[in-house]
Amino acid sequence: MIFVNKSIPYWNPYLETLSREDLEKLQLKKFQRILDWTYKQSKFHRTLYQNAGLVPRDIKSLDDVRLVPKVEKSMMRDVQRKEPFPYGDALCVPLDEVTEFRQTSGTSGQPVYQADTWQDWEWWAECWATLLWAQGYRPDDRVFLPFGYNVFVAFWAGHYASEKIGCETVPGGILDTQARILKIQEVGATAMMATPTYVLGMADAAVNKLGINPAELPIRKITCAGEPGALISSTKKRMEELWKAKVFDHSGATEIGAWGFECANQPGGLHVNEAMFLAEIEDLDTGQIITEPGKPGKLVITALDRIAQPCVRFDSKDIVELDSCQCDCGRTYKLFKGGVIGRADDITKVKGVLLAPSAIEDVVRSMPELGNEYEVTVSKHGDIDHISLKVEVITSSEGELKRIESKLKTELRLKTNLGYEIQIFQLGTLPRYEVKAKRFKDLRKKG
Amino acid sequence: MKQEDRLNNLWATVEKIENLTRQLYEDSGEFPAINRNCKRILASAKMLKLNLEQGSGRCFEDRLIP
Repeated sequence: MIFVNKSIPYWNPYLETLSREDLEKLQLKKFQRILDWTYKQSKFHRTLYQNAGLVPRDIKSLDDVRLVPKVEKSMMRDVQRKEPFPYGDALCVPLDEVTEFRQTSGTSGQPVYQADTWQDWEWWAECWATLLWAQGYRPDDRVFLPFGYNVFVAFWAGHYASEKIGCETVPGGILDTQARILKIQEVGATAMMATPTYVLGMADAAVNKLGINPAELPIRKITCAGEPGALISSTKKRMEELWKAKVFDHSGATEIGAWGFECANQPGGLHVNEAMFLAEIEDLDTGQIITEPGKPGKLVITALDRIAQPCVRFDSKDIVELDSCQCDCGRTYKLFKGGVIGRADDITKVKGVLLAPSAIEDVVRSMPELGNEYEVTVSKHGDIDHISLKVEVITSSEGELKRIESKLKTELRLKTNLGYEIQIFQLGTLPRYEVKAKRFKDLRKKG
Repeated sequence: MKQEDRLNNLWATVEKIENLTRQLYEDSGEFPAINRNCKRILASAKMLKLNLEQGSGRCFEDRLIP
């Protein structure tokens, strides 16, 4: 019998350690292939390229890639009003080749439907297997998925990848939070996948509703997705201490795939799976491609091997920044410092200062006197921007509340250069979320 | 064995699997249990190739399977 060598740190020792030169050759070959495929198979893409005066053979180098027009999510919404139902004319395969239906969450408008073939689904699971293996998942793990399986892609691919690796995979499906915690205890699950919000919520429920200390459960690895918290240092620390587990981030999207992952070394950023994706960073002001570390920009990304509904130069709206350091893990893939550090549509100017909601989260979660939940509202008082922050406190002593408020204001001022109105609530008052939390509200946009 | 030779050998083996499965797929049109399972094997064979590709040399042109 042949056993898997579990000490090998890479899912694919060949691709993950390719030289930069060989990696870029591979990316160019794959980009040319997917561009040619979309040009031939998709009326939407062909029209887009023809309108830009572009044919696939124009792309002769990776520098030429930027000649290819970007695709915005709003364009996909328009496409999907056309035939064939429900995907529209960006679909590159006959409908009877489609085996998977997923859709985006619709938080920024009409959901986008996503078609995948069985081959695409193999690819999804492969991308996830790459990240789970990098995070230390091995065949002897028992992996629990506290996830309401439905039309959203989140964790479906994680489930299939866990099986592909050979882990025993336990679906937490329609169980409620308490039942999921008890199931983890019952089966002795060693790893799980969830949003940071839910990881914290489960810990809260374990302690306050079941009297179980999550650190005493056997979970030792947690893979997060859906929100940026696993790379916000104070949120990661909070999760790791509560569960006595390593917490890892991963990044992906329904329209793109699972493109980025934190490895077991926890380098403070995300590796880009460059064998499967071409990631470009676009300057927010000039639109030029950023190639040097240290300057944040918007991620424009291509899934190099996805065929049913391809993702070619998709404007992800994720804000990322190249790290100048290489990770010690030996992967040659680029590293994005701090992972996804914001969303182009979330980073906003308040009183003329750029504000990323993740900076507020970092301050709140760094204060042990505060609960996990918070809510930020930006509004206008006359012509002046106003930010209010609702937090929950663990104590109820009047003197202590004043000290906490003062400390919070000071820390926020230091971190974000802005002043806040603080509203303090008792623990358990603010809304709880199971999947993606909505903690940032900009009321100025509604007017 | 050098890594490149080893990767080339793996690639050649995958091509054999793919060709055999493609033959089986084509011969099994009225036998769904064989035909649809072949389709899945072909998707897995394509994934094996994606794991071994290089910028020049080992790479494939066809996208849709079979």
